[in-house]
Order: sequence, then structure tokens, then C-alpha cells
Amino acid sequence: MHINSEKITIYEVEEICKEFLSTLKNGEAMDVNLDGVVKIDMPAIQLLVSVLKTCKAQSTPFSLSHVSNEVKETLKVTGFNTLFGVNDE
Amino acid sequence: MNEELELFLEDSEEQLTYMENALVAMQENGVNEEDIGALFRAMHTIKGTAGMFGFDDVVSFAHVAESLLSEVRSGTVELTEDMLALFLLCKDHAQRLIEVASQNEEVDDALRETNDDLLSKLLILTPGTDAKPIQNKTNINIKTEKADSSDKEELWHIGITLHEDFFTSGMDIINTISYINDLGHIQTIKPMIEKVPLLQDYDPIGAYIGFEIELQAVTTKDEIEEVFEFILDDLDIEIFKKSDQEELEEKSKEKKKVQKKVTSTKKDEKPKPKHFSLRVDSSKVDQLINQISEMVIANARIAGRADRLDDTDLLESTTIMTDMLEEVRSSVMNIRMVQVGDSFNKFKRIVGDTSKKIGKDIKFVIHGGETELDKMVVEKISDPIMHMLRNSVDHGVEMPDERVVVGKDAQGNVTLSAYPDAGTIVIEIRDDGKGLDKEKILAKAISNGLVSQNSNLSDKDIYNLIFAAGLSTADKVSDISGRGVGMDVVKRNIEDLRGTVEIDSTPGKGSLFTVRLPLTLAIIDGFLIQSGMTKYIIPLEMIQECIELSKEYKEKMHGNEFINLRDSILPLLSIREYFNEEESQADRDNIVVVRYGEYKMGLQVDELYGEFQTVIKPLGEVFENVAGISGGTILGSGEIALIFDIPKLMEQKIKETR
Repeated sequence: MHINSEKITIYEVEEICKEFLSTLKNGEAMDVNLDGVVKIDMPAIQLLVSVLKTCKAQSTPFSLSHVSNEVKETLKVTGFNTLFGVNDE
Repeated sequence: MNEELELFLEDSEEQLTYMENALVAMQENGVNEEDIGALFRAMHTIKGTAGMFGFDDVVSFAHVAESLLSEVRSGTVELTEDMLALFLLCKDHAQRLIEVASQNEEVDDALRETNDDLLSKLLILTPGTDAKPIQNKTNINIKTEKADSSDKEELWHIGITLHEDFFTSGMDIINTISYINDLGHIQTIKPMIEKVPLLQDYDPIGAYIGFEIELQAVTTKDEIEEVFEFILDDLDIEIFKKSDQEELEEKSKEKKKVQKKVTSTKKDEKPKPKHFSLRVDSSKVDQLINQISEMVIANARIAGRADRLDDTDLLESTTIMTDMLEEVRSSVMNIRMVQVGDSFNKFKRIVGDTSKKIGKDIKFVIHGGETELDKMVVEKISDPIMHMLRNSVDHGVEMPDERVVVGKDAQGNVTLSAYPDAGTIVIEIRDDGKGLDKEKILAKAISNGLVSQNSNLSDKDIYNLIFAAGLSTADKVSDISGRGVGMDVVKRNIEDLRGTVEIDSTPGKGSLFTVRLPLTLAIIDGFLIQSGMTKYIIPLEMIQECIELSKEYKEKMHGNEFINLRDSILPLLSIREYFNEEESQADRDNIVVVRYGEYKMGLQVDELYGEFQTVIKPLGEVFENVAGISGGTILGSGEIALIFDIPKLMEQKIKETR
């Protein structure tokens, strides 16, 4: 699923949450494409955690792709980089 | 600009004002613990809130200033006159950094240079810091070693659990975590995600996470807690040294006990009322006032109908409703009221700086700072007051040697006072300078064509000519005042607030500016009268008494427009004649005695109806040039009543008499 926005914050999470729900219904592997996303806040990171947990519960593969340096830095500061398998290259 | 940022800017402005007030107070009255505390708290708050927004330059700068203030507070460093001046510069600089950060601008070279210069000065004064001038031209990140904190680096455990409504508080936990890093080095950070629900049960704005952080730092528990100061109500936090294993174990035991206890004790605990201040957008209060205004009008309509129907029950209900509305109105109006002192204090520095700049020694005193006035009025009156004060300092008070020659103290005096008077707030600016030069003002006014050569003006009229556009009598134009474009703007701004301004002066003794302002701008207690076919409202607080214009009075008038009221002359203004109203069939003539400042006047009217809660509605352009009418209101019957502008009516009457 491609997030079509420069930022994912508390103002966007509700809408994106709905998109995740409908996408996950199909039972396909979940690749969250963050291409172009340069800002992410804690409500958005938490939403990704929920998606990850849901995928695990459904035994659906989950991955984050095209993660920008800015988002990587945020995930690193908050300690979520390990959980999402996102590390500095 | 988003709401949170606006709130931050409002709060910062408040904190910067506290800072300046504390510094100026200490310059005047000497260093004291209370003002040092206020100064420290303000700097600390700015650091904390700027950190929430990731304004690193503000945080870094405030951190260094705060560290020095912390030493001052603990008595390690003595706060000298020079340091007070330095902190005033720091306050100005912090203000500029906040402006730049909030507008997303880059810090330019000049600002960076000031930043570095001030930081160097602060660091030199801070014990235990490396006092080298800062060479770092990019992001400044300076850590001061606290003398009172443990000088041993230790591993700290910080456990955070966000409350479910954390995200709606608008605070950003990511910035807070980044800020912890400034205390030392975060060794590990582990998110706690157990409570995050699956997507089908997920509330996008609910917070379910927490963090376990291990921080290696030379710090104290208090310092770590300070980082969370502004969000402590929105999360649970646990801080302890990792070395304190016993404490850790004890905590886990306690936790278990508490969990068991909680269920039994919680029922017995009564929630204590919590008082807190709430920052609300002023437009929301304005909206509330507008809605109440509409309710007042609707209620007046019901009361009118009940009266016509002679329905006692309905009348009783409307009376109760009227009382209640008045209480609600008064409470809502009170929300907008602020003490003028908070705003006046900033003038101390302006007067201090201005007088110093031109080599004058001036003692500036504020009286009546506790007087309350509508916040909007306070904000709008600030510039006119500042201009009048600068005028007093620049043109009013003489140079010290000139004062000594005429037998005055070398130190001049300027006083700013506020007090309530007859439904208005009076603000006075008094100086003991040379007073206004009457001849010079008149000559200038004649040469400018403002008055004719033969005009017969009183001293007061001549003095008030300085409020005319383009009239400045200053021999040389200074950057403080004297361009002649200020006093007319001062007058216009005050009149826009439905206020008046006057000046009086005594040669050699000084001048006095008197500003009168209405308490509020939206609803007033009025008194409803009728003259001819039109109904009018007189602001109740300006009314002294109502009397009948009896035959005896009429006989003694001998055609003059005044009466002898208890041995004093009371000029009369016939409203019917003034507004060209038709003759009325009223049984008796009435006089409403009104007072504004030192003036009294009797308004001759036909009918007196009584008190009326008056919602002020602006009138259109048609009424713009009608002197004596300041607005309109809608009566219960749907009729329009016009609201008298009493000062203007008095002015007209005085002109007419001459």
C-alpha cells in the first residue's frame, strides 16, 4: 500500500487507518510503501505498529519500503527501527 | 499557523513579559528571591515549551541562560546590575529566536553572532562551564555541568506510559525523547507495544504505547522530571537509577500491593476539585458574548409581549430570566477583564531605556495596576500610552541640569495611573516637566491653518491642539518622538475604543494626559428614555440623578439653558431641540443629570422608562457624522433606540455655550 502523502500525522491517521483495514481484508502481504513520506509522528508510528500486529495475527507478511532518511531517524530516536527492521544503510 | 503553535507563541509572549517585569523590578528595587524565581521559571518554561516544538536554537539558548539563573537562584552567583542588563538582552534575543523559529526562518548571521556573543557572556558567568567563546556556527548544543548535581555519570531508567488521551493533548513525545538525549546519552530505548490493539479495534487517536529508556548521564531525577514537566498530567512516569536495584525491587513489590489496594480505596476517595487556568481563543468568548447579546434582545421582546398581555406569570419568568442573563453576562464579561498592571509593567523598560538614551534621569511610577479592563482594550491602548509616555520623557521632563537651574530635583518624575470612575476607566500620564508652551502651540496651529488668528481659545483648547494632525512643536525631530504624526493617531485610536483623551498643563510644573475608556465594548447597563418620537439609551453609570423640570425651575431659567441645582449651575441640553425631534405630549419635562469626568450636564427629555440591558450594535455610515450618538440597540418591541455618546454631547454643549 502506497502512502500518498509527504507526512503521516495525527491529522491523516484516521483516513489511512481505514485504507489499511480495507487492504488487510484481502489477506495479501502488506508492504507499506513510504516513498515520499518525510514526516511521521507518534500516532502514525503507533498505527504502523497496529498494522504490524494485525498482520502477525493473520500470518500475513508485513514490510516497510522506501523509508526516507527523515523517517528512519524518527524511528531510530523512538526505538521503533528494530521492530520494523529499518536500519541505517 | 496551527493552534498549538499559536498557543505556544501566546504563552512565550507571556513568559517574556514575566521575564522583563522581573528584571525591570529588580533594576528598580534591587535583587530579590521572588523576582529571581519568576525569571528562572519564565526561562525554564520557554525552554520546555520550545523543546516540544523542536525549536532547538531557542532551547539551547534558554538552557544556558537557565543554567546561570539556576546558579543565581541557589546563591552561587550574585546577580549584579550588569547581569540584569545582560538578561534583558537575553530576553530580547530569546524573543527574536522564537519569532524566527515559529516562522520557519533560518537564523541569519547577525542573529547567530548575537547568539554566540550572549552565550559566551552567560557561560563566562556560569561556574563549572568551559567559558570559551562558542565557535559553533550551526546548531548550538551546550551542556553546563551543574555544581549541585552528582558529578558521576550513572545509568538511569525512565519508564513512560502514555495516557490514552495523550495524542489529543497536542504534545509531541518524539521531541521530548529527543530532548532527553540532551541530558546525556540514551543507551537503549525500547517501545512497549503490548497494549496496541489490532486494527479492527483500533482508535486512531488513542495512545497505547510506552517506552523503557536507559539514559547514561550526569544528572538528577529532578532534571529528568523537568523534561516531562509540561506533559506530566498526560503520562505515567517512573525514574530511578539502575544501580538502585533495591529500589527497583521495592517498587515492583509496592506496585503489586498498590494494585490490590487500589480497588478497595478508590471508592472511598472523593475527587478533589482541581483548579486550572484555561487558554481560550478570544474569538470564542466574543462569540459567547454575541450569543448572550441576542438572548438579551430576545428576552426583552418576551418581556415586552408579557407586559402588553398583562400576563403576570410570564412577566415573573422574564424578570427571573433578565436577572440570570445579567449574571451570565457579567461572568462572561469578567473572563475578558485583565489587570492593567501586567501590560503597564512593560512601560518601565521603555521609559528607562528612552530616558537613558537622551541623558535624562526619570523616576517612573505606576499606580492602580490592579484596575481591570477588557483585554482587547488593554491591548489596543498600549501603543497610545507608549506614545504619550515617550512624549513626556522626550519633551516634558527637562534635562537634569535644566531642572536644577529652575530649582527642581535633577531626577524627573513620570507617573502612570489607572482607576475606575463613573463607568469608565481613567488612565493618567503625569510628568513634572516644563509643561506645554501655549504660545508655541498656538503659533504653530495658526501657521498650519488649524485655527484662525482671532480665535478665542481657552488654555485647555490650545493644549488639546497637539492632538491635531501634523502639529509637532519639537524643535528637532528625534527618533523617540517629535514627528507630529503621533498624537493625532493617539487620539484616533482612543476614540476608536469609544474613549476620550485630554491634556492639561501648567507652565514649569508639568503636563497631564487623561484618557477615559469604557469598561466594555459589547453590552452596557443603559437607561431608556424618550424624546419626541425617538427612544434613546444613556449609559447608566454616567447618570447621577433624574429630576422633574418643574415650573419653579422653568420660571427661574429666564430663557437660559441652565438651572440652579442645589446651588450649582447645571447646563441643560434639550434632546428634542438638539436632534430636531417633534413636540411630545408628555405630561412632564424631565432632566437626567449625567457626569463625565469633571463635567456635569442635564439632558432634557420627555419620558423616563428605566434600566435596560443594552446590546451595543454599530450604526451604519449614515450615522457616522451624527455627533452624540455612539451606536444603536434593539428594544424588546423590535424598535431601535439610539445610544448617547455623552462625552460628545458635552463637547457640543460646551462649544455651543461659547
